[in-house]
Amino acid sequence: MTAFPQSLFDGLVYGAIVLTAGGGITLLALFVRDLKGGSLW
Amino acid sequence: MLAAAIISPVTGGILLAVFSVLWVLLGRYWGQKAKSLDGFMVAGRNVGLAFGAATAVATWVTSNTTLLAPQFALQLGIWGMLAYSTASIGLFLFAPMAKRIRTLMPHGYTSGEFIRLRYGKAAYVAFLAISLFYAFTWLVSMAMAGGTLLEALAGIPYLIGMTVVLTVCVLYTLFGGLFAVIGTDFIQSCIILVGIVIVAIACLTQVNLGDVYTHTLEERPMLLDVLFPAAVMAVFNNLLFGLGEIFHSNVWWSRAFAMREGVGGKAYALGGLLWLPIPIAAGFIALAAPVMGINVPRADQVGPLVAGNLLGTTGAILVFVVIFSSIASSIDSLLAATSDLVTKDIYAQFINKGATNEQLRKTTGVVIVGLGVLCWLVCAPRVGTLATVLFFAGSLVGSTIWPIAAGLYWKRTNPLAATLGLILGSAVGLVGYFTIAWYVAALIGTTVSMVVVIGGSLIAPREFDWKRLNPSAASESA
Repeated sequence: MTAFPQSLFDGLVYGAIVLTAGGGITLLALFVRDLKGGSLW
Repeated sequence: MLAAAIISPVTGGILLAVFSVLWVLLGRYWGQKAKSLDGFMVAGRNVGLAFGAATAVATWVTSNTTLLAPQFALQLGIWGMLAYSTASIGLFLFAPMAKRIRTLMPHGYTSGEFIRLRYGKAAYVAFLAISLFYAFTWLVSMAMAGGTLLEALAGIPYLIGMTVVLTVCVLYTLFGGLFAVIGTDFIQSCIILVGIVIVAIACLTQVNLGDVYTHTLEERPMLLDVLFPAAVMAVFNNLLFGLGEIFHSNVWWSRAFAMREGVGGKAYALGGLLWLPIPIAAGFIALAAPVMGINVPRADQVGPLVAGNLLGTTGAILVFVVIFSSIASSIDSLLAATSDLVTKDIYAQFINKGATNEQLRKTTGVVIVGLGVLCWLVCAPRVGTLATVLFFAGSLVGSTIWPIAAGLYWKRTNPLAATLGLILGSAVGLVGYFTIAWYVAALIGTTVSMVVVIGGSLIAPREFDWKRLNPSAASESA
Protein backbone atom coordinates (compact mmCIF):
# COMPACT_ATOMS: atom_id res chain seq x y z
CA MET A 1 0.00 0.00 0.00
CA THR A 2 1.21 3.51 -0.83
CA ALA A 3 0.14 5.93 1.87
CA PHE A 4 -0.27 9.66 1.49
CA PRO A 5 2.79 11.25 3.16
CA GLN A 6 2.24 12.94 6.48
CA SER A 7 3.49 16.23 5.09
CA LEU A 8 0.63 16.21 2.57
CA PHE A 9 -1.89 15.44 5.29
CA ASP A 10 -0.51 18.23 7.48
CA GLY A 11 -0.41 20.66 4.56
CA LEU A 12 -4.00 19.92 3.60
CA VAL A 13 -5.29 20.48 7.11
CA TYR A 14 -3.30 23.61 7.90
CA GLY A 15 -3.87 25.05 4.42
CA ALA A 16 -7.61 24.44 4.67
CA ILE A 17 -7.87 26.22 8.02
CA VAL A 18 -5.92 29.25 6.81
CA LEU A 19 -7.98 29.48 3.61
CA THR A 20 -11.25 29.16 5.52
CA ALA A 21 -10.23 31.95 7.89
CA GLY A 22 -9.13 34.06 4.91
CA GLY A 23 -12.49 33.46 3.28
CA GLY A 24 -14.36 34.84 6.27
CA ILE A 25 -12.20 37.96 6.32
CA THR A 26 -12.67 38.46 2.58
CA LEU A 27 -16.45 38.26 2.89
CA LEU A 28 -16.51 40.83 5.66
CA ALA A 29 -14.21 43.17 3.71
CA LEU A 30 -16.45 42.90 0.65
CA PHE A 31 -19.51 43.56 2.78
CA VAL A 32 -18.00 46.77 4.15
CA ARG A 33 -17.00 47.84 0.63
CA ASP A 34 -20.47 47.16 -0.82
CA LEU A 35 -22.17 48.78 2.16
CA LYS A 36 -20.10 51.95 1.82
CA GLY A 37 -20.68 52.01 -1.92
CA GLY A 38 -24.42 51.46 -1.51
CA SER A 39 -24.20 48.38 -3.71
CA LEU A 40 -25.18 45.50 -1.41
CA TRP A 41 -28.25 44.96 -3.59
CA MET B 1 -30.63 8.61 19.21
CA LEU B 2 -27.25 9.01 20.90
CA ALA B 3 -26.51 7.55 24.31
CA ALA B 4 -25.67 10.98 25.75
CA ALA B 5 -26.40 14.42 24.32
CA ILE B 6 -23.66 17.04 24.57
CA ILE B 7 -25.85 19.97 25.61
CA SER B 8 -29.09 19.86 27.54
CA PRO B 9 -32.43 19.95 25.75
CA VAL B 10 -33.08 23.28 27.49
CA THR B 11 -29.91 24.89 26.10
CA GLY B 12 -30.66 23.43 22.68
CA GLY B 13 -34.21 24.72 22.86
CA ILE B 14 -33.05 28.24 23.81
CA LEU B 15 -30.51 28.32 20.97
CA LEU B 16 -33.10 27.08 18.55
CA ALA B 17 -35.61 29.68 19.71
CA VAL B 18 -33.10 32.57 19.51
CA PHE B 19 -31.95 31.75 15.98
CA SER B 20 -35.43 30.89 14.82
CA VAL B 21 -36.72 34.29 15.94
CA LEU B 22 -33.69 36.02 14.39
CA TRP B 23 -34.15 34.38 10.97
CA VAL B 24 -37.90 34.99 10.91
CA LEU B 25 -37.52 38.66 11.94
CA LEU B 26 -34.86 39.17 9.28
CA GLY B 27 -37.13 37.47 6.79
CA ARG B 28 -39.91 39.92 7.63
CA TYR B 29 -37.52 42.88 7.46
CA TRP B 30 -36.12 41.97 4.07
CA GLY B 31 -39.56 40.94 2.95
CA GLN B 32 -40.41 44.63 2.67
CA LYS B 33 -38.22 44.68 -0.42
CA ALA B 34 -39.83 41.59 -1.86
CA LYS B 35 -43.31 42.83 -2.73
CA SER B 36 -43.01 42.45 -6.51
CA LEU B 37 -42.49 39.16 -8.35
CA ASP B 38 -38.95 40.17 -9.37
CA GLY B 39 -38.21 41.17 -5.79
CA PHE B 40 -39.49 37.92 -4.33
CA MET B 41 -38.09 35.51 -6.92
CA VAL B 42 -34.80 37.12 -7.99
CA ALA B 43 -34.14 39.74 -5.29
CA GLY B 44 -34.59 42.66 -7.68
CA ARG B 45 -31.76 41.41 -10.00
CA ASN B 46 -29.26 43.75 -8.34
CA VAL B 47 -27.34 41.62 -5.79
CA GLY B 48 -23.74 42.75 -5.23
CA LEU B 49 -20.49 40.78 -4.85
CA ALA B 50 -20.44 40.37 -1.04
CA PHE B 51 -23.94 38.93 -0.86
CA GLY B 52 -23.45 37.07 -4.14
CA ALA B 53 -20.32 35.23 -3.01
CA ALA B 54 -21.71 34.61 0.47
CA THR B 55 -24.91 33.08 -0.83
CA ALA B 56 -22.93 30.72 -3.06
CA VAL B 57 -20.81 29.62 -0.10
CA ALA B 58 -23.65 29.32 2.41
CA THR B 59 -25.93 27.43 0.06
CA TRP B 60 -23.21 24.98 -0.91
CA VAL B 61 -22.19 24.47 2.72
CA THR B 62 -24.90 22.03 3.56
CA SER B 63 -24.93 18.93 5.69
CA ASN B 64 -22.45 17.80 2.99
CA THR B 65 -19.74 19.75 4.67
CA THR B 66 -20.77 19.98 8.27
CA LEU B 67 -22.09 16.46 8.72
CA LEU B 68 -21.20 14.46 5.62
CA ALA B 69 -17.59 15.64 5.10
CA PRO B 70 -16.54 14.27 8.50
CA GLN B 71 -18.46 11.12 7.65
CA PHE B 72 -16.54 10.87 4.38
CA ALA B 73 -13.23 11.43 6.16
CA LEU B 74 -14.08 8.69 8.64
CA GLN B 75 -15.08 6.22 5.95
CA LEU B 76 -12.87 7.19 3.00
CA GLY B 77 -9.92 8.99 4.62
CA ILE B 78 -7.93 11.66 2.82
CA TRP B 79 -9.64 10.91 -0.46
CA GLY B 80 -12.96 11.38 1.29
CA MET B 81 -12.06 14.93 2.29
CA LEU B 82 -10.68 15.70 -1.15
CA ALA B 83 -13.78 14.19 -2.73
CA TYR B 84 -15.90 16.76 -1.00
CA SER B 85 -13.59 19.60 -1.91
CA THR B 86 -14.02 18.77 -5.59
CA ALA B 87 -17.61 19.91 -5.26
CA SER B 88 -16.23 23.47 -5.35
CA ILE B 89 -15.22 22.91 -8.98
CA GLY B 90 -18.90 23.16 -9.84
CA LEU B 91 -18.92 26.71 -8.49
CA PHE B 92 -15.78 27.62 -10.43
CA LEU B 93 -17.17 26.25 -13.68
CA PHE B 94 -20.56 27.84 -13.12
CA ALA B 95 -18.93 31.27 -12.82
CA PRO B 96 -18.64 31.90 -16.60
CA MET B 97 -21.99 30.20 -17.10
CA ALA B 98 -23.65 32.59 -14.65
CA LYS B 99 -22.36 35.49 -16.68
CA ARG B 100 -23.64 33.95 -19.90
CA ILE B 101 -27.02 33.07 -18.37
CA ARG B 102 -27.47 36.68 -17.23
CA THR B 103 -26.54 37.94 -20.71
CA LEU B 104 -28.69 35.50 -22.69
CA MET B 105 -31.69 35.66 -20.35
CA PRO B 106 -31.74 39.10 -18.68
CA HIS B 107 -35.40 38.65 -17.70
CA GLY B 108 -35.22 34.93 -16.87
CA TYR B 109 -36.37 33.25 -13.67
CA THR B 110 -35.62 29.54 -13.78
CA SER B 111 -33.39 26.86 -15.25
CA GLY B 112 -36.54 25.11 -16.49
CA GLU B 113 -37.34 28.15 -18.59
CA PHE B 114 -33.96 27.80 -20.30
CA ILE B 115 -34.55 24.14 -21.13
CA ARG B 116 -38.02 24.89 -22.52
CA LEU B 117 -36.83 27.72 -24.74
CA ARG B 118 -33.66 25.91 -25.81
CA TYR B 119 -34.88 22.34 -26.36
CA GLY B 120 -38.68 22.30 -26.38
CA LYS B 121 -41.34 20.52 -24.38
CA ALA B 122 -40.05 16.92 -24.23
CA ALA B 123 -36.71 17.94 -22.74
CA TYR B 124 -38.57 20.41 -20.50
CA VAL B 125 -40.74 17.70 -18.98
CA ALA B 126 -37.78 15.34 -18.46
CA PHE B 127 -35.73 18.16 -16.96
CA LEU B 128 -38.49 19.27 -14.62
CA ALA B 129 -38.94 15.71 -13.39
CA ILE B 130 -35.21 15.42 -12.66
CA SER B 131 -34.84 18.88 -11.21
CA LEU B 132 -37.86 18.69 -8.93
CA PHE B 133 -36.96 15.20 -7.77
CA TYR B 134 -33.42 16.26 -6.98
CA ALA B 135 -34.39 19.50 -5.27
CA PHE B 136 -36.87 17.65 -3.13
CA THR B 137 -34.35 14.92 -2.28
CA TRP B 138 -31.87 17.59 -1.23
CA LEU B 139 -34.53 19.36 0.79
CA VAL B 140 -35.42 16.12 2.56
CA SER B 141 -31.78 15.36 3.33
CA MET B 142 -31.32 18.85 4.82
CA ALA B 143 -34.42 18.62 6.96
CA MET B 144 -33.32 15.18 8.14
CA ALA B 145 -29.92 16.66 8.96
CA GLY B 146 -31.63 19.31 11.06
CA GLY B 147 -33.44 16.68 13.10
CA THR B 148 -30.29 14.58 13.42
CA LEU B 149 -28.29 17.58 14.67
CA LEU B 150 -30.74 18.49 17.40
CA GLU B 151 -30.94 14.91 18.52
CA ALA B 152 -27.17 14.41 18.55
CA LEU B 153 -26.31 17.61 20.34
CA ALA B 154 -29.22 18.37 22.61
CA GLY B 155 -31.21 15.18 22.92
CA ILE B 156 -34.20 16.88 21.31
CA PRO B 157 -36.27 14.16 19.62
CA TYR B 158 -35.61 13.95 15.88
CA LEU B 159 -39.20 14.64 14.92
CA ILE B 160 -39.45 17.82 16.98
CA GLY B 161 -36.08 19.18 15.83
CA MET B 162 -36.77 18.47 12.18
CA THR B 163 -40.19 20.09 12.44
CA VAL B 164 -38.85 23.28 14.03
CA VAL B 165 -35.98 23.71 11.53
CA LEU B 166 -38.28 23.18 8.59
CA THR B 167 -40.99 25.49 9.93
CA VAL B 168 -38.56 28.34 10.60
CA CYS B 169 -37.11 28.12 7.10
CA VAL B 170 -40.55 28.00 5.52
CA LEU B 171 -41.59 31.09 7.48
CA TYR B 172 -38.71 33.38 6.63
CA THR B 173 -38.59 32.28 3.00
CA LEU B 174 -42.32 32.91 2.81
CA PHE B 175 -41.93 36.40 4.26
CA GLY B 176 -38.86 37.57 2.38
CA GLY B 177 -38.34 35.47 -0.75
CA LEU B 178 -34.87 35.54 -2.28
CA PHE B 179 -34.04 38.79 -0.46
CA ALA B 180 -34.43 37.00 2.88
CA VAL B 181 -32.63 33.91 1.60
CA ILE B 182 -29.59 35.84 0.35
CA GLY B 183 -29.50 38.19 3.34
CA THR B 184 -29.58 35.38 5.88
CA ASP B 185 -27.09 33.46 3.73
CA PHE B 186 -24.52 36.19 4.34
CA ILE B 187 -24.88 35.99 8.11
CA GLN B 188 -24.98 32.21 7.99
CA SER B 189 -21.85 31.98 5.83
CA CYS B 190 -19.92 34.17 8.29
CA ILE B 191 -21.10 32.00 11.20
CA ILE B 192 -20.13 28.84 9.32
CA LEU B 193 -16.63 30.05 8.39
CA VAL B 194 -15.84 31.38 11.87
CA GLY B 195 -17.27 28.31 13.59
CA ILE B 196 -15.35 25.84 11.45
CA VAL B 197 -12.08 27.69 12.02
CA ILE B 198 -12.60 27.76 15.80
CA VAL B 199 -13.42 24.05 16.01
CA ALA B 200 -10.51 23.14 13.73
CA ILE B 201 -8.03 25.22 15.74
CA ALA B 202 -9.38 23.80 19.00
CA CYS B 203 -8.85 20.33 17.59
CA LEU B 204 -5.25 21.14 16.69
CA THR B 205 -4.55 22.49 20.17
CA GLN B 206 -5.76 19.29 21.83
CA VAL B 207 -4.78 16.59 19.36
CA ASN B 208 -1.43 16.24 17.66
CA LEU B 209 -1.85 15.98 13.90
CA GLY B 210 1.11 13.61 13.78
CA ASP B 211 -0.66 11.31 16.25
CA VAL B 212 -3.78 11.38 14.13
CA TYR B 213 -1.75 10.39 11.06
CA THR B 214 0.16 7.64 12.89
CA HIS B 215 -2.94 6.24 14.56
CA THR B 216 -4.81 6.16 11.27
CA LEU B 217 -1.85 4.50 9.53
CA GLU B 218 -1.69 1.80 12.21
CA GLU B 219 -5.38 1.16 12.77
CA ARG B 220 -7.05 2.03 9.47
CA PRO B 221 -4.29 2.31 6.83
CA MET B 222 -6.79 2.16 4.01
CA LEU B 223 -7.87 5.72 4.88
CA LEU B 224 -4.43 6.98 3.90
CA ASP B 225 -4.07 4.75 0.85
CA VAL B 226 -3.30 6.68 -2.32
CA LEU B 227 -5.07 3.96 -4.28
CA PHE B 228 -8.15 3.38 -2.10
CA PRO B 229 -10.44 2.27 -4.97
CA ALA B 230 -13.83 3.18 -3.50
CA ALA B 231 -12.50 6.55 -2.37
CA VAL B 232 -10.97 7.37 -5.75
CA MET B 233 -14.31 6.57 -7.37
CA ALA B 234 -15.98 8.82 -4.80
CA VAL B 235 -13.76 11.72 -5.90
CA PHE B 236 -14.91 11.48 -9.51
CA ASN B 237 -18.49 10.79 -8.52
CA ASN B 238 -18.58 13.74 -6.17
CA LEU B 239 -17.00 16.04 -8.71
CA LEU B 240 -19.60 15.14 -11.31
CA PHE B 241 -22.37 15.19 -8.75
CA GLY B 242 -21.40 18.73 -7.81
CA LEU B 243 -21.17 19.82 -11.43
CA GLY B 244 -24.54 18.34 -12.28
CA GLU B 245 -26.20 19.77 -9.22
CA ILE B 246 -24.92 23.29 -9.78
CA PHE B 247 -25.33 23.30 -13.56
CA HIS B 248 -28.97 22.29 -13.54
CA SER B 249 -30.45 23.39 -10.23
CA ASN B 250 -32.59 26.46 -10.05
CA VAL B 251 -30.95 27.22 -6.71
CA TRP B 252 -27.92 28.39 -8.68
CA TRP B 253 -29.72 29.73 -11.73
CA SER B 254 -31.99 31.94 -9.63
CA ARG B 255 -28.88 33.50 -8.10
CA ALA B 256 -27.37 34.03 -11.55
CA PHE B 257 -30.55 35.93 -12.47
CA ALA B 258 -30.50 37.79 -9.15
CA MET B 259 -26.96 39.13 -9.32
CA ARG B 260 -26.25 42.52 -10.82
CA GLU B 261 -24.77 42.49 -14.32
CA GLY B 262 -21.05 41.77 -14.13
CA VAL B 263 -21.26 40.29 -10.62
CA GLY B 264 -22.33 36.67 -11.24
CA GLY B 265 -19.05 35.38 -12.65
CA LYS B 266 -16.94 36.94 -9.89
CA ALA B 267 -19.33 35.89 -7.12
CA TYR B 268 -19.38 32.23 -8.15
CA ALA B 269 -15.60 32.10 -8.65
CA LEU B 270 -15.03 33.66 -5.24
CA GLY B 271 -17.66 31.40 -3.71
CA GLY B 272 -15.79 28.38 -5.09
CA LEU B 273 -12.53 29.60 -3.63
CA LEU B 274 -14.08 30.18 -0.22
CA TRP B 275 -15.82 26.82 -0.27
CA LEU B 276 -12.84 24.73 -1.45
CA PRO B 277 -11.09 24.29 1.93
CA ILE B 278 -14.22 23.89 4.08
CA PRO B 279 -14.73 20.12 3.67
CA ILE B 280 -11.12 19.50 4.70
CA ALA B 281 -11.22 21.92 7.63
CA ALA B 282 -14.51 20.39 8.80
CA GLY B 283 -13.67 16.82 7.86
CA PHE B 284 -10.27 16.16 9.35
CA ILE B 285 -11.58 16.27 12.91
CA ALA B 286 -13.35 12.99 12.19
CA LEU B 287 -9.98 11.30 11.84
CA ALA B 288 -9.15 12.61 15.30
CA ALA B 289 -12.13 10.77 16.81
CA PRO B 290 -10.41 7.39 17.25
CA VAL B 291 -7.30 9.07 18.71
CA MET B 292 -9.45 10.68 21.38
CA GLY B 293 -11.25 7.39 22.01
CA ILE B 294 -14.62 8.78 20.95
CA ASN B 295 -17.21 6.18 20.14
CA VAL B 296 -19.16 7.08 17.02
CA PRO B 297 -22.52 5.30 16.92
CA ARG B 298 -23.65 6.84 13.63
CA ALA B 299 -21.17 7.89 10.95
CA ASP B 300 -23.10 11.04 10.04
CA GLN B 301 -22.88 12.29 13.64
CA VAL B 302 -19.11 12.13 13.93
CA GLY B 303 -18.54 15.87 13.38
CA PRO B 304 -20.80 17.15 16.17
CA LEU B 305 -19.59 14.42 18.53
CA VAL B 306 -15.90 15.21 18.08
CA ALA B 307 -16.41 18.98 18.36
CA GLY B 308 -18.53 18.53 21.46
CA ASN B 309 -15.92 16.33 23.08
CA LEU B 310 -13.16 18.78 22.17
CA LEU B 311 -14.74 21.99 23.34
CA GLY B 312 -17.34 20.79 25.80
CA THR B 313 -20.54 22.78 26.02
CA THR B 314 -19.04 25.76 24.17
CA GLY B 315 -18.02 23.51 21.29
CA ALA B 316 -21.38 21.84 21.21
CA ILE B 317 -23.13 25.22 21.12
CA LEU B 318 -20.79 26.42 18.38
CA VAL B 319 -21.31 23.32 16.28
CA PHE B 320 -25.02 23.54 16.89
CA VAL B 321 -25.11 27.08 15.53
CA VAL B 322 -22.81 26.29 12.59
CA ILE B 323 -24.78 23.27 11.49
CA PHE B 324 -28.11 24.95 12.05
CA SER B 325 -26.89 27.84 9.89
CA SER B 326 -25.59 25.57 7.16
CA ILE B 327 -28.78 23.57 7.04
CA ALA B 328 -31.06 26.61 7.18
CA SER B 329 -29.12 28.33 4.39
CA SER B 330 -29.69 25.32 2.15
CA ILE B 331 -33.30 24.67 3.08
CA ASP B 332 -34.31 28.29 2.46
CA SER B 333 -32.53 28.28 -0.92
CA LEU B 334 -34.23 25.07 -1.94
CA LEU B 335 -37.63 26.30 -0.84
CA ALA B 336 -37.23 29.56 -2.77
CA ALA B 337 -35.72 28.06 -5.94
CA THR B 338 -38.06 25.08 -6.07
CA SER B 339 -41.14 27.20 -5.49
CA ASP B 340 -40.00 29.41 -8.40
CA LEU B 341 -39.65 26.32 -10.55
CA VAL B 342 -43.09 24.99 -9.62
CA THR B 343 -44.72 28.41 -10.04
CA LYS B 344 -43.08 29.50 -13.29
CA ASP B 345 -42.62 26.13 -14.95
CA ILE B 346 -45.64 24.14 -13.84
CA TYR B 347 -48.33 26.59 -12.70
CA ALA B 348 -47.66 29.26 -15.34
CA GLN B 349 -47.00 26.79 -18.15
CA PHE B 350 -49.55 24.04 -17.57
CA ILE B 351 -52.21 25.31 -15.15
CA ASN B 352 -52.71 29.05 -15.64
CA LYS B 353 -50.94 30.29 -18.76
CA GLY B 354 -52.22 33.84 -18.48
CA ALA B 355 -51.36 34.25 -14.80
CA THR B 356 -50.61 37.81 -13.71
CA ASN B 357 -47.51 38.65 -11.70
CA GLU B 358 -49.70 39.09 -8.63
CA GLN B 359 -51.15 35.60 -9.06
CA LEU B 360 -47.67 34.18 -9.55
CA ARG B 361 -46.45 35.93 -6.41
CA LYS B 362 -49.29 34.46 -4.36
CA THR B 363 -48.80 31.02 -5.87
CA THR B 364 -45.13 31.06 -4.90
CA GLY B 365 -46.13 31.49 -1.25
CA VAL B 366 -48.59 28.62 -1.42
CA VAL B 367 -45.96 26.41 -3.05
CA ILE B 368 -43.38 27.22 -0.34
CA VAL B 369 -45.81 26.09 2.36
CA GLY B 370 -46.81 23.03 0.34
CA LEU B 371 -43.19 22.01 -0.15
CA GLY B 372 -42.57 22.36 3.56
CA VAL B 373 -45.52 20.12 4.43
CA LEU B 374 -44.57 17.49 1.84
CA CYS B 375 -40.97 17.50 3.02
CA TRP B 376 -42.09 16.99 6.62
CA LEU B 377 -44.20 13.99 5.61
CA VAL B 378 -41.23 12.35 3.89
CA CYS B 379 -38.75 13.18 6.65
CA ALA B 380 -40.88 11.97 9.52
CA PRO B 381 -40.17 8.21 9.08
CA ARG B 382 -36.37 8.91 8.93
CA VAL B 383 -35.31 6.42 6.25
CA GLY B 384 -31.62 5.91 5.29
CA THR B 385 -28.46 7.85 6.12
CA LEU B 386 -27.80 11.29 4.69
CA ALA B 387 -25.48 9.95 2.01
CA THR B 388 -27.80 7.30 0.69
CA VAL B 389 -30.70 9.71 0.51
CA LEU B 390 -28.71 12.40 -1.26
CA PHE B 391 -26.68 10.28 -3.64
CA PHE B 392 -29.70 8.40 -4.88
CA ALA B 393 -30.14 11.40 -7.16
CA GLY B 394 -26.53 11.37 -8.41
CA SER B 395 -27.32 9.76 -11.74
CA LEU B 396 -30.12 12.20 -12.40
CA VAL B 397 -28.10 15.35 -11.88
CA GLY B 398 -25.10 13.85 -13.70
CA SER B 399 -27.26 13.43 -16.77
CA THR B 400 -28.04 17.18 -16.85
CA ILE B 401 -24.43 18.40 -17.15
CA TRP B 402 -24.09 18.03 -20.90
CA PRO B 403 -27.55 19.17 -21.95
CA ILE B 404 -27.02 22.36 -19.91
CA ALA B 405 -23.41 23.07 -20.89
CA ALA B 406 -23.92 22.24 -24.57
CA GLY B 407 -27.20 24.14 -24.61
CA LEU B 408 -25.54 27.28 -23.29
CA TYR B 409 -22.45 27.24 -25.48
CA TRP B 410 -23.00 25.00 -28.52
CA LYS B 411 -25.36 26.47 -31.09
CA ARG B 412 -25.83 23.17 -32.87
CA THR B 413 -26.87 21.01 -29.96
CA ASN B 414 -29.68 18.71 -31.05
CA PRO B 415 -32.80 19.01 -28.82
CA LEU B 416 -33.69 15.34 -29.22
CA ALA B 417 -30.15 14.31 -28.28
CA ALA B 418 -30.37 16.55 -25.20
CA THR B 419 -33.70 14.99 -24.22
CA LEU B 420 -32.39 11.45 -24.69
CA GLY B 421 -29.22 12.39 -22.81
CA LEU B 422 -31.33 13.39 -19.82
CA ILE B 423 -33.47 10.25 -19.91
CA LEU B 424 -30.85 7.62 -20.77
CA GLY B 425 -28.19 9.11 -18.51
CA SER B 426 -30.59 9.03 -15.57
CA ALA B 427 -31.83 5.52 -16.30
CA VAL B 428 -28.44 3.89 -16.79
CA GLY B 429 -26.99 5.80 -13.84
CA LEU B 430 -29.77 4.48 -11.62
CA VAL B 431 -29.03 0.95 -12.78
CA GLY B 432 -25.42 1.56 -11.72
CA TYR B 433 -26.59 2.89 -8.36
CA PHE B 434 -28.59 -0.23 -7.61
CA THR B 435 -26.30 -2.85 -9.15
CA ILE B 436 -22.81 -1.45 -8.36
CA ALA B 437 -22.70 1.28 -5.69
CA TRP B 438 -23.91 4.81 -4.93
CA TYR B 439 -20.54 6.29 -5.81
CA VAL B 440 -20.73 5.34 -9.50
CA ALA B 441 -24.22 6.72 -10.18
CA ALA B 442 -23.23 10.25 -11.19
CA LEU B 443 -20.21 8.97 -13.13
CA ILE B 444 -22.33 6.64 -15.25
CA GLY B 445 -25.18 9.14 -15.66
CA THR B 446 -22.79 11.85 -16.89
CA THR B 447 -20.91 9.58 -19.26
CA VAL B 448 -24.00 8.16 -20.94
CA SER B 449 -25.53 11.61 -21.26
CA MET B 450 -22.31 13.03 -22.71
CA VAL B 451 -22.10 10.33 -25.40
CA VAL B 452 -25.75 10.81 -26.37
CA VAL B 453 -25.72 14.63 -26.42
CA ILE B 454 -22.42 15.06 -28.25
CA GLY B 455 -22.88 12.05 -30.55
CA GLY B 456 -26.46 12.97 -31.42
CA SER B 457 -25.58 16.61 -32.08
CA LEU B 458 -22.63 15.72 -34.30
CA ILE B 459 -24.74 13.30 -36.32
CA ALA B 460 -27.76 15.64 -36.60
CA PRO B 461 -26.81 19.23 -35.69
CA ARG B 462 -29.63 21.80 -35.20
CA GLU B 463 -29.00 25.54 -35.47
CA PHE B 464 -30.32 27.71 -32.64
CA ASP B 465 -30.86 31.46 -32.46
CA TRP B 466 -29.67 32.67 -29.03
CA LYS B 467 -32.19 35.51 -29.14
CA ARG B 468 -34.96 32.98 -28.55
CA LEU B 469 -33.77 32.73 -24.95
CA ASN B 470 -34.92 36.32 -24.41
CA PRO B 471 -38.51 36.24 -25.71
CA SER B 472 -39.39 39.82 -24.68
CA ALA B 473 -36.48 41.30 -26.69
CA ALA B 474 -37.17 38.95 -29.59
CA SER B 475 -40.83 40.05 -29.77
CA GLU B 476 -39.82 43.73 -29.57
CA SER B 477 -37.35 43.41 -32.47
CA ALA B 478 -39.94 41.46 -34.47
